[in-house]
Amino acid sequence: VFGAIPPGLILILGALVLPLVPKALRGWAFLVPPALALLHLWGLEDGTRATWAFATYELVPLHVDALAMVFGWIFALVALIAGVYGLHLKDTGQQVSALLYAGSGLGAVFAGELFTLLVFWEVMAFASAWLVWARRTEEAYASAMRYLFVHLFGGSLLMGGILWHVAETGSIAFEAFEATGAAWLILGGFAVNAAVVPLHAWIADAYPRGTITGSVFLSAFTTKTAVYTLARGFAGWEILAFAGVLMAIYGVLYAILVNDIRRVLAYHIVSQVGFMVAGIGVGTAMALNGATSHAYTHILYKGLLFMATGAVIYATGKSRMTELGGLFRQIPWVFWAYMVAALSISSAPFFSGFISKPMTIVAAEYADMPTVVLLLHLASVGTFLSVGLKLPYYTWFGKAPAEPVTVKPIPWNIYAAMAIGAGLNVLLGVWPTPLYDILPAGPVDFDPYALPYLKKGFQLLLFTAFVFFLIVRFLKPKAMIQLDTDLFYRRAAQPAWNLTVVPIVRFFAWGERVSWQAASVVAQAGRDPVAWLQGITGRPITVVTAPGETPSTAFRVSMTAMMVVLLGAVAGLLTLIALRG
Amino acid sequence: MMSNFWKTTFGIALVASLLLEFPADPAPIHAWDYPLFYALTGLLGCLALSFLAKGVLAPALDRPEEFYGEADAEYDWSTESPAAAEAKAARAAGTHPGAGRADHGGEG
Repeated sequence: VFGAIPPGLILILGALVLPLVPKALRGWAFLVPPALALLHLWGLEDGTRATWAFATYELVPLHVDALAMVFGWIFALVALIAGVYGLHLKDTGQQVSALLYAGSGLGAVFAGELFTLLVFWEVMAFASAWLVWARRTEEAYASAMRYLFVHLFGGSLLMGGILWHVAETGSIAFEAFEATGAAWLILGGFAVNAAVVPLHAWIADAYPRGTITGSVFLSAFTTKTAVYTLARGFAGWEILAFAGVLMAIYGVLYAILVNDIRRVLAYHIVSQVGFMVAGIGVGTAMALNGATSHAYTHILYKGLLFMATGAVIYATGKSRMTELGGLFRQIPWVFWAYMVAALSISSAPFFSGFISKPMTIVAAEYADMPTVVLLLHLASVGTFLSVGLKLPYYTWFGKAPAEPVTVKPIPWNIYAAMAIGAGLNVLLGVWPTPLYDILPAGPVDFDPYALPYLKKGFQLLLFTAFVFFLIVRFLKPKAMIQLDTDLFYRRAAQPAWNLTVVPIVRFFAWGERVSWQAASVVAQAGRDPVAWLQGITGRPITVVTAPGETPSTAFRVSMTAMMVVLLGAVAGLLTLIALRG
Repeated sequence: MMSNFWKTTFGIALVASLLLEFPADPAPIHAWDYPLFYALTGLLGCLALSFLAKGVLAPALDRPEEFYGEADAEYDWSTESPAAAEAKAARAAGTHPGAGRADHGGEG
């Protein structure tokens, strides 16, 4: 529709124009750029490229292929749905940064080479940090700073890797990498954004502290952009299969412990992205299709999970399971929307996750990696246990907390966005063909509704639920937080400050003191050299003046001039000697 | 916690899911080809994860909410939620008029 314009640019331009729109219309105006981007994607053909000569390189801000398109579709779509969710917002900064964030995410997946990718990567880090800052509490501010710090660290790894790679190969093309030092650095940069354990703590730190709408956006773009880049650059790297399994298990174990409802979801991003990373590590066509389709469905159901928990927070002003409970009578529709998403993430039959997650696991079966298969099954159990059972039980059912919860009405647009999200999750669950048709690694040879997969889907979940209801008291949430790898940089902050900033500040303070003292000595000497010389020699100097008379101004000036000439001569002499020598 | 209706429905679903074992895989190779593999994974997996998380990890990792010195404000939702904003205003109002009345009493 718009020729070879990068779709991300539409959103970024939208972000620039948005502040000029009257406040009353701004929520609606927010929806225009994502809608235009969707329209644009409709007309974009495979292989379309836009190039831009920059110095001696040819930059490619737009490169369309099947892998980029899958992510492009879902990014634009989720930006639109989240826009509906945020229609009631009256916060320009948050709206602009959300558009900028979504736009740079889109920009990154359509970037045809590494430089453009890096630029969008960094914009994404700043724009997303704003969505946490927008909470306007001290803790959110600190958390966003840590978030930014971690992502700038990841961005530096990426930049270092790219520069090294360009120096070695002379190419900025973004293709599958060979196992070189440069590639490992780039992998490190991607791994930070993919929340690969142990580089994942930023997600559990920042996402629960974002604004209600902001975290819906956050759940969609950063980690999935990283999944996209891993799929393009590192498919079949076996280490990723094991990193992914570790993420899948690690995330569910923490999710069982944490108390904040959106922190449960954040740990489940680690876990679910683990499935995708594992699929990329397995690297067969089916595994790549599985990972890509899982990224697609994940954005839909995770967005809906954050929308529903956000609605709970909006209505009650509380976010900890220990403070919630018994809300079913007051906000039943939020519960049903939540459960659609929870059943999707648990890959229950007829919900979106069911058509994508099993594909990844079956691909690992075919690739003969039984350990990966078994551990991913275990992670699936944990997913349903905490997102599908524990969180909804202690939020909507369970015992009402000691302090009564007042429930405020929720704006219509929040319900509308959740209805769209829930509808899409069910639609995709029962009719996966439109998604299967656009998957990048060739035609899909997988029927999720074959009998063995149905058996797996039903038995795994029903028996997990059976155990849950037996041990529900044992799983009761506690008003505690849990240590994670962010401990190292949160507790290290003070020593690191003492080690780096403090000595430099002290050095400059010392330098300032010394120069001030030197200046005051010169000033005193200049004002009255005779008195000054008397001061340092300790002997009175006889000045030829009449008794009782102070030295005349002319005398002082001439003395000072003589001193300057004398010192100049000495300095000149020394320089000459030094030069001769 | 669950009504009898839901308990019965759940029980029927549980048994029905076991019927999906027929027909059994004639030549099982991997663990997951054997009958009841997924039912047992659900049962034992749920127990194992719960025990690992609550029994082993929680004692090592749980810390009070004040651990990083930020418990109260982290859960201040007054900028985001009308319910929290109202509660905060009520708390503020609850202390101030009280103090005001005491002052009046003193003056009177």
